[in-house]
Amino acid sequence: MMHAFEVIVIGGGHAGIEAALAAARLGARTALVTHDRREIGRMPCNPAVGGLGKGHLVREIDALGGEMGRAIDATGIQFRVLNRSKGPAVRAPRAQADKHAYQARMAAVVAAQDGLVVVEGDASDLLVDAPAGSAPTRLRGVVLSDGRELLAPRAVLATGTFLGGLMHVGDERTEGGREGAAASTGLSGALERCGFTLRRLKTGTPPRLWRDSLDFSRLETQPGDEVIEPFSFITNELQTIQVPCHLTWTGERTHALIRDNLHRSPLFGGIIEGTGPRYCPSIEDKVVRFADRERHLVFLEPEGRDSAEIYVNGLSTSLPRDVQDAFVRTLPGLERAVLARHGYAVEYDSAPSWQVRASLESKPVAGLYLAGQILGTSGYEEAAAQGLAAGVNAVRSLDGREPLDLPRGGSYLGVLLDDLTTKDITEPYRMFTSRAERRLALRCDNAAARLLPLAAAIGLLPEAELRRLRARVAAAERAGRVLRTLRCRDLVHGGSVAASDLVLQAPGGLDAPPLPADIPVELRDAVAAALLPAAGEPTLPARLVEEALLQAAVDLRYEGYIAKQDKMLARQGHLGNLELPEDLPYAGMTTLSKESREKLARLRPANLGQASRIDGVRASDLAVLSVLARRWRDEKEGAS
Amino acid sequence: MRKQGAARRAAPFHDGLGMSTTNDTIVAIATATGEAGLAIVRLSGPGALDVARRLAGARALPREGVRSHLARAATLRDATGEVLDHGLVLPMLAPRSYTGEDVVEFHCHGGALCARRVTGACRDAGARPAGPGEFTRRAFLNGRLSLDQAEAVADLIHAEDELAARAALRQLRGGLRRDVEAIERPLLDLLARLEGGLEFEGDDAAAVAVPRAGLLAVLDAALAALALLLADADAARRVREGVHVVLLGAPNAGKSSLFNALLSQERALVDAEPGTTRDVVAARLHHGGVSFVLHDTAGLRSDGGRVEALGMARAREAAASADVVLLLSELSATSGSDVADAPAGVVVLKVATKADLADPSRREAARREGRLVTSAHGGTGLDELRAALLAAVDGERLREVADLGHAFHERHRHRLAAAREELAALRDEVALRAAPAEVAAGLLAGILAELGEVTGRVFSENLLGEVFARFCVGK
Repeated sequence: MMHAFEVIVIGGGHAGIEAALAAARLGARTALVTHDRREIGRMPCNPAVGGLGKGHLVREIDALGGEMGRAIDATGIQFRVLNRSKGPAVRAPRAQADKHAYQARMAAVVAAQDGLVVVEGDASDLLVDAPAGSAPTRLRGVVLSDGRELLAPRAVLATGTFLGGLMHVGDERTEGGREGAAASTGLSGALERCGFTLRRLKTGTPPRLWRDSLDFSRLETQPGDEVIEPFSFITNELQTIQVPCHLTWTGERTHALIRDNLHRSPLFGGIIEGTGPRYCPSIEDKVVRFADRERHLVFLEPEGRDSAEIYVNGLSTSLPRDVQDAFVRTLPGLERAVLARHGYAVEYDSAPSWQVRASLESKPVAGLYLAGQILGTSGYEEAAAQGLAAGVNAVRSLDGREPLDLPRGGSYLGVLLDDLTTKDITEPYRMFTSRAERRLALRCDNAAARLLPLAAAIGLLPEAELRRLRARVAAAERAGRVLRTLRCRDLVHGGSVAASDLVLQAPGGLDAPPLPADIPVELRDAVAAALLPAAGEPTLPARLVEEALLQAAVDLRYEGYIAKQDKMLARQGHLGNLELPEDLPYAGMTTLSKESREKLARLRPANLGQASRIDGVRASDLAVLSVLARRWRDEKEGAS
Repeated sequence: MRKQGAARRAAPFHDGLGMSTTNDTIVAIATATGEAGLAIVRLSGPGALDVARRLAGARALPREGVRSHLARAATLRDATGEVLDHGLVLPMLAPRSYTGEDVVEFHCHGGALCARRVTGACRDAGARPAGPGEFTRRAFLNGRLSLDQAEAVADLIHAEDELAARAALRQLRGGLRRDVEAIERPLLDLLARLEGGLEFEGDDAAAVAVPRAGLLAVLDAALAALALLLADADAARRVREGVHVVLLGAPNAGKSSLFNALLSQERALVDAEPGTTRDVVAARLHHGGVSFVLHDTAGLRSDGGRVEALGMARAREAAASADVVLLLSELSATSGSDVADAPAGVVVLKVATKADLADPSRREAARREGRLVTSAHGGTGLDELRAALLAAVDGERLREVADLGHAFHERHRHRLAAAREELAALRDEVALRAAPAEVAAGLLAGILAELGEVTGRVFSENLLGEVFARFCVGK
């Protein structure tokens, strides 16, 4: 039996959803292949969306027309803006999700989407053209394990941790992509046959506790923000009744129990070969590596408004069940805790990301895109961002258009894609704000302004939503003009003063509210007028108006710093624009160090700037490379 | 004039790089010419072993299984079989050699003759004479030297006296890198803490928190260390290039005569006609272990011709970038009238000339005015003038700097000065404007990038690793 589609998306996780919705919304006949349609949008780990770096990504996904921000706004049960005191650039929203509601909503959105068909099944092989001569292998479709063939010229592989998934709890080993779900075993072999290199990665998850086995009287409460700041620019305001999280601590007894049982840990016993993330260490890791810490903070996060399960953030572990049972009960408030599910580590196959281009199309198989954990990343948000890019680029290539151009200076999405194509990722990659050289310019408050042109070019946002985004960006521009040009009365010294000086010298410095409390009425009026909708613009909710004003003020305050950093980046990357031909014979460039030669040959950076960001490529190599590349080009031009 | 000097010296490493340069085998005498017990001839390149085998035979250098870094005694012969020398053959196989290529050294008997004959035989066997700095260039291209080491080698090659050679040797061993790294380390630690505080929340952030006072203390310490290093940089520049001494004065004040007298040679054209020197003439003077570059200039006056005016402009330019200005006037003339011509911030020594032509009674008065009394003809006062020059530039300190190993390139000094400026700005942002951590971290990253350009190291890649290695962060 055969079915013909334009785009096939394999995997119904956070990458797969965005890829499938984007492709279908852009008009491509799309199939979403998943083991179980009820599993679409599941949160197998932390029941939360956003956070530092990740919240930035969600804002960007949202501005470009992705689904994640809207879904978490609709199903979040606790919202907090992190890093309020550390500056606007590292401020980011985070929310606890009702994971079942989130899943249900995503499943409903997917089901309702025109042009998108959900196919239940296990993708086990790829259909490709046998390569003729030097032409690259081309994708033709996907084979399911029951023999069905789905034909399509484009596919997005978003299999998460399912490829060759192996779960560990102590010395118990179970094949599967996550608890209660089967692994995909066929695809790994198919990828290798197509020339992909695979690499084992590892990640883990903590135990879940039954809510009614906890003694909440002994736990510290962590409430959500009083005023909720939503993720999506479409959301007007949220009146969600929030559910608190709780805090507790590990102690010396916990650590002693873990130390005494380390030999039973698959991580320390050497059973797990995959590399785990340093930023998400297991509790065994923390106890061993930071033996001097007397206690570690643990967050108890409800998995849903009515969920009976509590996620124990900070206790990721793959120790045997009896050890988990015992050490969990050493934490205050958890003395009688009963584990609903034990923590486990999962090992899986990833296809190291140097095998894709910045479009996420794979180098070995034309037409095949990879997104999410299969490329070595970690996190729902990172996955969703890639899914969106892969879905959009797949359709663009069907239309014969260039892939999205996302420079790393313009968005976290750009940073992510550039890192994927220039870094040899050996541990699950998650976003950090420090990965962005232009961090001060890549803020949540200006995500709309940064991504509006791209959003318009992509065309995922319906016209009404695009108008709203435009209005939001225009309001900030008008307010910015007032702040930069208006002169007003100086209430302190008499005479007149530039409005910009009032903003720049506001008490509280760079991190002060946009407008000082005590400003002349003409400035207040002028700003208020600037923030009103212009003719033909939709009216914005109060929160977007506030955000526009904040953006205008921070733009002004950070202008000097951003200019300074940009100058430095330009100086550092002054050779960065030199294009490196794709057929550059790195193997023969014996003047480069061996390590550099190998990495360059594998990653084939598009320009010298990308080459400079490859780990292990030395400054001296770049100097030499710039000469060799020029010479190579000149010789080729001379020959032709 | 300084900048040109620096650029000229760096040049061998930045031009002429190319694929063809490493396809052949080069040879040169690696030891200094002159009388010594030992001379080393060095071969480098893919054919080094073959060439060496032609001289030393297959017993000393077997065709298969040559052992790297193992010296063997051998009789060296030329193509006709004539014995050139009895010496040692030392193969060093790629990449474990200075250049990263196959290298063979012949350790010959001292004296120029043996080494020259061995080199000649190598050329006959297919090696090409190495250009200046070519071994080092290959080492650099093969990634065997860091940028600052390579530049130190450049300086070594160009070292014009023993002092500079000593400083250059030190840097080759990483003296400058060590010093900059000592400044970098606490700043990197600070940045790791700031970033940790930004990337994580709750107790994780608290674990890495930097109190404002602590932050300022780290910045102040780095500022002080940079100021010291920059003072050394200036001294090091004087060691490397020599101390620039510019002779200024009215036409016919006797500048060229004094210039020649100090150098004991007829370098500048001397004539009684005022305005004879129309350009700047420079020559090197070694004294007290310090190298001086003397610059003779056009006389300063207001009624000269156009060519002379150009010369005067150059003279002023030279004076502005000088380390010491000798302000000349005839002993018979009154002093002080010319001081206005000396640029600010430069050590000025007032010199009275032509003492032999003036009434001896004027000498005492001139000395009281702080003028050094000289006569180019009789040689009067020249020793005192040389001593004054040495004192003015603190010759002791220069020798110390050479010993410390602070062989700075102009590039280094620039970067360090920029880093100090940025650091001071960051301090102000933190102390006066309560800059949020994200701004402080961004500025600090920029400063570390400046410093990294001195050592050729980039830190951004390692920053997250640093955070994770040092702090227990993340859930």
